[in-house]
Amino acid sequence: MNILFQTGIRLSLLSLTLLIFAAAVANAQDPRVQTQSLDHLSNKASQTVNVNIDERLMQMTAKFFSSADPDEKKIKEIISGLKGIYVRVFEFEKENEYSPADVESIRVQLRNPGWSPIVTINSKKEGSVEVYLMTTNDRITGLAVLAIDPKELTVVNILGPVDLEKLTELEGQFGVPVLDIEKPAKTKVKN
Amino acid sequence: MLEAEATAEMFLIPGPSKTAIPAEPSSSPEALLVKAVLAGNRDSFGRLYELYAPMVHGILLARVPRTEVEDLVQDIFLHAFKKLTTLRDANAFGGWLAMITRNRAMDFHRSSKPTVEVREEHATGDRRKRAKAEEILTVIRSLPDAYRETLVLRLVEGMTGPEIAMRTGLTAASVRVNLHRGMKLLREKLGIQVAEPQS
Amino acid sequence: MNNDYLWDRTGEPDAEVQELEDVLGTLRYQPQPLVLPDNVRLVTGRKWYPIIAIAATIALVVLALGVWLRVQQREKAAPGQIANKNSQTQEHQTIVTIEEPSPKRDNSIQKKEVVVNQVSQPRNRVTVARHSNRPSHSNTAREFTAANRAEAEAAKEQLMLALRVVSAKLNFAQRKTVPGNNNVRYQHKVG
Repeated sequence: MNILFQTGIRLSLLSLTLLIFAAAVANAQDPRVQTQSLDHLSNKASQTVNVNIDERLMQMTAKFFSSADPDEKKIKEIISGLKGIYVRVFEFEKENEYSPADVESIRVQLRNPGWSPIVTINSKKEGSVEVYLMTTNDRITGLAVLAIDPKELTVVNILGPVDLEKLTELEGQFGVPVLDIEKPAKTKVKN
Repeated sequence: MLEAEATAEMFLIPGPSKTAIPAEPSSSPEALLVKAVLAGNRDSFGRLYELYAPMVHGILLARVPRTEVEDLVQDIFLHAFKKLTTLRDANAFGGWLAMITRNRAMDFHRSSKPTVEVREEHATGDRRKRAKAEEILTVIRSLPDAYRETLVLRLVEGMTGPEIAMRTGLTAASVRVNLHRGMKLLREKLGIQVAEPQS
Repeated sequence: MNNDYLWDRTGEPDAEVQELEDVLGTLRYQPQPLVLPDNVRLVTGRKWYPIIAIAATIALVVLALGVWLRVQQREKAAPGQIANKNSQTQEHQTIVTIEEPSPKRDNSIQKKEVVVNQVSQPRNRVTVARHSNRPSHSNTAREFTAANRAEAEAAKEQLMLALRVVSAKLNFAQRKTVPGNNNVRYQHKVG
């Protein structure tokens, strides 16, 4: 009888542990970064960009890119399979119009176990950029970029299998000039 | 101080795919030893310890203060013994053990207070050599993870490239590249130090 | 540099490598006996395996159902998130931010957010991108209704903008990951 009771207790504990774990996993593996906490910055910003394209809209929009045009074909390839793209940019006239707490509200989500920081750049002149990837079974399921500048705050969130290389190659195409200094020659190294 | 690697590494995905396990037959000596341990033969684990202790020692030496390494080697093997049943593939023992070692080194840094390694300035003979060795080790530790580990296993533990690949589970190609690039960086850093005027 | 000697000590010895081996060899592992206490045993747990396996399976099925239901609820609420509280909430909407001169203020720019929904087209032209060429329409657009087409066209511009922003930030990070730049930390999870 005692053994049965102990067994029962152990099974209950196990089920409870599994319940907590499953909930945590469900939360941790969600690549969507919530940015509602930054809504109040719209009032202070001189310019904002707010893009919210979910999977349905993405698939519909993909059909409007021509496969005959090489540039559009490239974009089509990039967005193929993506489940969403969400971008928020806030540009301010003056410095320090947003607080560290605003940035922290995004960072705290990116500290979830599912996210892996892959690059962190800190530059006093050009601001900082943090790039995070979420991977599941060796496949990228999400990308997040947090760019912090004294007069600009950018949060990018892409859901789905992101091709980073193709994304970086986009700059300088479609009549868009390179937005920063001239890009040095790529030194691709293979193992 | 960590040095950033070439641009393309930014896009490499960390994970099991980066450390490929070399294709070995299921009857490799190490796999047989692992299976023997799982069947209850504790002596076989002693043999595994003899085979892999240099690797564990080297990985730790690349990451933690030298004075802590010996104790940590013992801890890691104790831990590996207890958790051996969680190893899914007996052929992957080396890679699995290497991962435990690296994680343990990270845990050490998280939990320990900073220590200062005292250099012996007025040393003679072998002690001077050892002091020099520790200076070079400090330089090696400033290199990126993949390079410093491979260099320590090669130059300190005396393992050859193929041995490093076999023990750690990395591909021979990766080890070769890490050795070559790591050595190049090490030469540059040591070369810079040598060029500095003596005070 | 003799690569063969560095690799497996074959070929012509490399003097520098030999010297390093000689010096660094003083730090080499010195064999110590392994102390394996008798009370330390393999963790097996096979005794409980059948019972725990059955209980865990049942628990997992129940948990999986719960998590699935939760994800379904979240997916229904997630698409087309709206930043502006004053706009009407509708499923699958695109938010565009527009800059236009304010009639009330002197030479100031007023920004507002417009919801592009399936029924109407935006009255004001979207001018969020600073440097852009409008891509040409694809013939595929004919397949869609006028409402869908308007939505997808607006989304297409937004998508281009979003991709440019992402590309610019990633390129910035990429440029900064040049060896020797001390402002960069390279991070990875598994050692």
